[in-house]
Amino acid sequence: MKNYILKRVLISVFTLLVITLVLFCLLQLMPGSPFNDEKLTDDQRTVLYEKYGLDDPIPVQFVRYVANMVQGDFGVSYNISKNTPISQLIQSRLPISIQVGGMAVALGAVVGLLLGVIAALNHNTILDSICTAISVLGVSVPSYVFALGLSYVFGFRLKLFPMLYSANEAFMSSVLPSVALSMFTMASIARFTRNEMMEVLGSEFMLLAESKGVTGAPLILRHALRNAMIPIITVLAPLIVDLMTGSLVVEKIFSIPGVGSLLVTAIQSNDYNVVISLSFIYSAMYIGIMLVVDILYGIIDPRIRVTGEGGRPGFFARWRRVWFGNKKKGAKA
Amino acid sequence: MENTNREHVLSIRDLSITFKTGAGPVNAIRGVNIDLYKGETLAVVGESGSGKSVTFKAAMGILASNSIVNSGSITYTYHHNDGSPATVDLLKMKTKEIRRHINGKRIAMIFQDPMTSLDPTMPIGKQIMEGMIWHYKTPKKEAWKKAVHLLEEVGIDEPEKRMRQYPHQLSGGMRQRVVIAIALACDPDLLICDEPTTALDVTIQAKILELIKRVQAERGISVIYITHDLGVVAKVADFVNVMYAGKIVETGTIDEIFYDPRHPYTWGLLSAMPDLDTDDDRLYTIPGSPPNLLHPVTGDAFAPRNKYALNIDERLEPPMFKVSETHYAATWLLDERAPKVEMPAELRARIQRMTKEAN
Repeated sequence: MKNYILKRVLISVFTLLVITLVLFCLLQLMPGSPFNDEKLTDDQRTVLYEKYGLDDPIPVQFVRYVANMVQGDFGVSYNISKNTPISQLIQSRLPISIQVGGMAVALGAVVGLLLGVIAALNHNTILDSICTAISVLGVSVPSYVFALGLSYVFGFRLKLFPMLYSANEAFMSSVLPSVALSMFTMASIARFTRNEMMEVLGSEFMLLAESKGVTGAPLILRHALRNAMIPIITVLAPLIVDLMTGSLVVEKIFSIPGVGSLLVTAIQSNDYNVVISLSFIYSAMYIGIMLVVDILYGIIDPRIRVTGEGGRPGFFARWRRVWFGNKKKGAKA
Repeated sequence: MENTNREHVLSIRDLSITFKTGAGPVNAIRGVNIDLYKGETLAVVGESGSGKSVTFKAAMGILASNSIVNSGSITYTYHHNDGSPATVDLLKMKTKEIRRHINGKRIAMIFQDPMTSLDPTMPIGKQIMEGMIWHYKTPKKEAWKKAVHLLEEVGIDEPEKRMRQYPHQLSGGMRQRVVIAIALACDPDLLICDEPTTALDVTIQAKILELIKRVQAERGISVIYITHDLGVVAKVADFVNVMYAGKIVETGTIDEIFYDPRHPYTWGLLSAMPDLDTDDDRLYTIPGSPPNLLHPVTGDAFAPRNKYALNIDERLEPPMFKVSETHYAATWLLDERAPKVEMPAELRARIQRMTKEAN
């Protein structure tokens, strides 16, 4: 197990390095430069390029950037707020995104699980249809529609929650955006939970557990849900990162100073260091969550307990199987 | 039929169960009567889909949710701890009541496929202890001790080590032993074995049957075997019920069914058993397939596959004709007005050979 984690961490570091390199190259392909201001003369531009080292060959720039990054220096912003260190820029925004996203994940996962279990236990009844309707709605309606609706009803009409984010009321003012963001997660989790639970409930070991006399919550929690958990976690993991990294539109609607809008502005204004740093953080979060999920698999299902050897379906294989089915690519799970 | 020395354990009367399906209602069980007495072994034999499992799932209260019990009763007699007898109708009990008082505690079930009947995410020991802790609030230490003991009883070595293992770490035969240990955990007095050896390979089959037999003898419990394998029946059963299309068509002691079968379906089943001593190199199969119970059955359900069918079989369902005190068969051939029909010559020859060997 220890070896396995060590191996995974080393692979993650390498992956991050490759991601950084790809980002570096991609940014060079973007039209324009960070200093697009009409008022700048060519001479001034040259001075700026020289100042930030942007006139060096790309490989040199890359090596220098990675060397600095290893020391925790992600560079400075060229554009968005001039010469502010990136770490400072992100430090003020990332926690807000994580807080709103975290609330959304918690809400989506819990409500989704609940809806899924209720639907599976009462399948082919009205309750099942209601849960299915909710999950279809949640998957198909974009989160900004929910955001606008919630903000109108609960913010503007009922005045239960503030319409805009404010740092003084961090919790209350992130309720509405969290709910809006959580809808997709909730709907997907509900759908997968229902399917998985249906399968598990029909299995023979459930009959055996029932014929032991076990009923009620212990039967569902101990035997059914635990066995249904693997695919659910596989679906949930990437959604967690999606939510944590913020959503541009929802951030705009509630004027949340999160990282979602920061990334978009940075890309528009060619603020290289901001783009690379944020992408780097996203990637690191993804990789970290995948590692956690792989370890969780083993805790939940002893059959896939990590041995450090090959032959075990990893996160991606599992993720593809859950979303696209076992045999054919593109088939619905 | 009733013998004063024999004590009723389970008595199924006129049981009728329908499944609601997308294609319409399926009358899976159409008036089943079964009796089981204390300490005895009963086998229910029939093709796939004849309703043998469904009958006993009804007794366990684990029928699928789309099933409807139309009529009938399943009376079960047991003794309280103080020895006073109690009789209940399992079909009238609420599921919750059955779970609390019957399942595991008094009637336990062994399922067909040990590869799928154990929870893959729970250690063996926990699965065995679960019932005891659930029903009797047995302290964990005591439950552990008892579970280790049970594993020993079902012939698993290194029980302490196995307790902590997961199902996937054991072989099929071992898993079935674990399933038996789980069934025995709360000392039930009736064991229902639903095709207990079908999923196992032949060498393991005999061992598992011996194990169940031994446990039965040691504990003096009653056992019901649900199977399609007459070889299993021959090894274990005292009484046999032959089931076809949701009905019992012949019932009798093991000797009566094997040496003096009366129903053409039983003839077919017996003829279809592989036999090493025959000159014929083809294996007999019963022609056709069981009726689709989506459609109502008129007359004898077996008539279309029965070369001995009479005209009346098309119109009227045969009642159970009495052959002896213990032997009944539902075929018009036993009516006194029916023409004299003998069992197939090949089967007769085989039975004669078997009788000779037995003597």
